[in-house]
Amino acid sequence: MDSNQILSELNTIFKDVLDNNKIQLTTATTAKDIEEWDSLSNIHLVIEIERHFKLKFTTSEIQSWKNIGELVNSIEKKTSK
Amino acid sequence: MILSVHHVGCLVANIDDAIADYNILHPGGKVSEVFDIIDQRVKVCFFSIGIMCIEFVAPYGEESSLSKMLKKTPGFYHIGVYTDNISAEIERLENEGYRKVSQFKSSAFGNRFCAFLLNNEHHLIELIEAEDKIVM
Repeated sequence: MDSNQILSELNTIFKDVLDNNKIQLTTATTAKDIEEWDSLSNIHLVIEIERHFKLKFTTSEIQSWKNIGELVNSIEKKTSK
Repeated sequence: MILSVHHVGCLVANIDDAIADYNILHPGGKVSEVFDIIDQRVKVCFFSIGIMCIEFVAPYGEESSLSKMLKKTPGFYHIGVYTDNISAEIERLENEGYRKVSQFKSSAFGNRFCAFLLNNEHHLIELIEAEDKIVM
């Protein structure tokens, strides 16, 4: 799965979990850019992302992401194994 | 280990209105004092029904997660359970796939430790460090 496909699928997950159809993720997007993305919804997002891509993240991985691009990279590495 | 269920958390806009409504359901239900949990920007109050409580949670401040949740989905949103070892339970649950959302000391429970975790069903669980004396 390439990074563009991952980004597209993440966009769908974010729209669904955050209940906001206007979300348009880019690799530079951060939590500050999306009003609904807070500490609680972040955990909801992680659970859905793990379920969708059939993978698990460690707490340190989750805390290390600075933007969507880093999340995409993390998913790409795990799904390419 | 998990000992017992203490409460079901219920998001409300106004605690006095909620107490009045649940007094219709259970007239004379015991009501605790109202606790102001400043860190979380919520006021909470326990309404006793039998051996369990409903925790009315009224968020304040437009930017809090719970204020946003209240607008979309008011009502029951978490279950609070006592544990005899909160650190061990958090570790056990995280190893089983639960995700810790927050950990804090709560004035509603005598400044004992509490923690919120989400399970894989997106259900919110509050662990409460047990003490012999239950705050009510």
